[in-house]
Parts: sequence; structure tokens; C-alpha cells
Amino acid sequence: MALSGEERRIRALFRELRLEDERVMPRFAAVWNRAHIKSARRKTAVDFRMAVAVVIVCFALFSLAFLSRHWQRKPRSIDAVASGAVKPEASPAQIKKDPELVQQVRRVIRRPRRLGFAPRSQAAKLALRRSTTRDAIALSRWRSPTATLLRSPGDEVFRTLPQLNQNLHEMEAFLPNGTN
Amino acid sequence: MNISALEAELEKLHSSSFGWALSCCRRDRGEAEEVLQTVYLKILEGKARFRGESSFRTWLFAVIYKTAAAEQRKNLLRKLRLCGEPQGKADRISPAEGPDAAVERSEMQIRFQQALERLPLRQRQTLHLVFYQDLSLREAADVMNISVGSVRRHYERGKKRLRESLGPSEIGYGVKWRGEKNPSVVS
Repeated sequence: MALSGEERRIRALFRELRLEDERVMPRFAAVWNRAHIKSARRKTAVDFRMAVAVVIVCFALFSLAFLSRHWQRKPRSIDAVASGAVKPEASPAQIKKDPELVQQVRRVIRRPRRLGFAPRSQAAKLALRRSTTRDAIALSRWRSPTATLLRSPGDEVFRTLPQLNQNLHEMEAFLPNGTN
Repeated sequence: MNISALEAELEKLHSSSFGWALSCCRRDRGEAEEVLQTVYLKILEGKARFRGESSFRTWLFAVIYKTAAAEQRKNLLRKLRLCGEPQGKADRISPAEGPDAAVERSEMQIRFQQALERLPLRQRQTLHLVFYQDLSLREAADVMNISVGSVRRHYERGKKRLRESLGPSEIGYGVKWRGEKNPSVVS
């Protein structure tokens, strides 16, 4: 590129500036070594951060696993009831006393461990539903001890209706003493 | 390119790189050194990789240009956060400069540097790449990641403004600054 006088003048000024810059320029080795040291430090920092992150993740996973096991223990007694190994009304004290029941409960408790999370939760739901049904049946069958006091001789008359095609004699049977 | 070859290339271009870093950092020597160190760090860590798409020098200058811009943004944010007062121009020109060096500088050189300071950033950088680093306009465009047309415009405007700023000093310096060419004075 052909330079005009003006451009040559600017170039000369820049050349002078360059010489001035070279006087204050830091040595290449110094800057390069500092960059090397910084790079090494950064690598160490990254490794340390990585190690800390791995430890935290491991701790979180272990605690999660431990807590999930702890939570799973409660529905297991329901599993036992569902499978029929233990009667619903059997208290933990009763189970402990009976060695056969204890064995049955242990078998039931061990089984879901191999199944994993999903079957366990399904079994727990099923057990809950069954126990609710049983409770409902038990409630419907319940009778008060004083229910007999409410019975009277005319209960039969109130519970049945006379038929129109019945004759008079049969109708009379509805009367308490045969007379009106 | 292996690391030893890279180191050799960088060493060869170290003075030019420092000059370019100075220009990108408004002649702040400390900042320029920091930028250069960051650039070397980027190269060492593989964040900046030379793929041979341009000359090594153009690529290196482009890395310096981007790094300096990023550093300036960081510094600006830091200043805004601290709500500190901006530094004066006198501090920015050459903080490491001793009194002897200042005396040694010619009056013309001082005027020239002041004129450069007053130029817009792009114009100053274009003139630096062309006159200080001897790059062509195309190479300068590659470094600054702008079109050749823009570089040409910055170049012409920068020259014009520099001429206007340095105009009054031409008599004292003995150069026919405006008007006819006088190559013998500057050769």
C-alpha cells in the first residue's frame, strides 16, 4: 500500500509510540509463568469443588435411601394384615407373644423388600382398602347391649303387613289377644 | 499446534500483543498486562484455540480484543457496584510511567498521544492496527470482527481527526502536516 506523506508521518509517530511501549513492556516469561500458575490453581480449585460436589451428592443419596426405607416400614404391618398373616385386631403385643405369628409377620415383611417401591405401595393401598371394608362390616353388625330392652310383643305386627287375600281368621291372627 | 510451538509464536508476538492490549485498555499498563495474562491463560486452558482460519497474529489480536472488551465490562460493573468515582484521564494514560520517562517523551509524542486519547475507540484501534501493527484493512476488520467498509470508514475518519488535532503543532515540529507530501522528514 502506497503511503502518503501524512500516513508516513502517522506511522512514524506510532513507531515512536511502539518504542516507548517496549520500554515498559513486561517480560514474556513473567506473564506466561503467571498464566501457568493461575491455570494450575484453577485446575486444583475445580478438582476440589468436584470432590465436594460428589461427597454432597453421595450423602444426599444415602440419606434419601435411608429415609425411604424408614418410611416404608410403617405400611408393612398393613401388608401383613392384607395377606392374612395377622388378624386386624391383633395388637403388636399379641404378635410378639405368639411365635408362629411372629414368623408369619417376618415372612410378610421380608417379601416386599425384593419387590421394590411400586408393588409395595400397591399392596399397602390394597391392605388399607381391605381393612376399611372389614371395619365397615364390623360396624354394621354391631348391636348395642341394651337393644333387647327395646323389643315388645307387638314388634311382629309392625314389621309385617296383612295381605288382602287372607281370610278373616288369618286376619285375626294379627290381633294380640284374638279379640278387638 | 503443540504448546511449545505455541509458546514460541506467542513470545515472538509478545511486544505487538502488549502494544495492542495497551491500545484496547486505553493505555493502562496494569490492565493491559492483566488482559495479556488472561489471554495466555485462555490459550493454555484451550478456551481460545487457533484453527488456522486466519493468520496466527490476526487470531491472537482478535482474542486480545475480545478479552479486553470483557475485562472493561467487568471493570465497569465493578465500578458501578462500588459507586466509586471514575478514574481521571491522567491516571489512565500511563500509570506506571515515571517522571523521567515523561520528560524523555517529545512534545510531539505527548500531543500525539493526547490526540489519540480523544479519538473514538474504534477509530483509535483501526489506526493502531494499521500503523502500529502494519496490518491491512482486511486483517484489521478480521481482528475487530467488523466489515472492511466499516474499518475503512473508521480509518479515514480517524486520520482526519488526528490531522485536525495535530494541525497546530506542525510548524514547531518542522513537518508540512497538511498539504504536500514530505516523506524525507519521516523516513
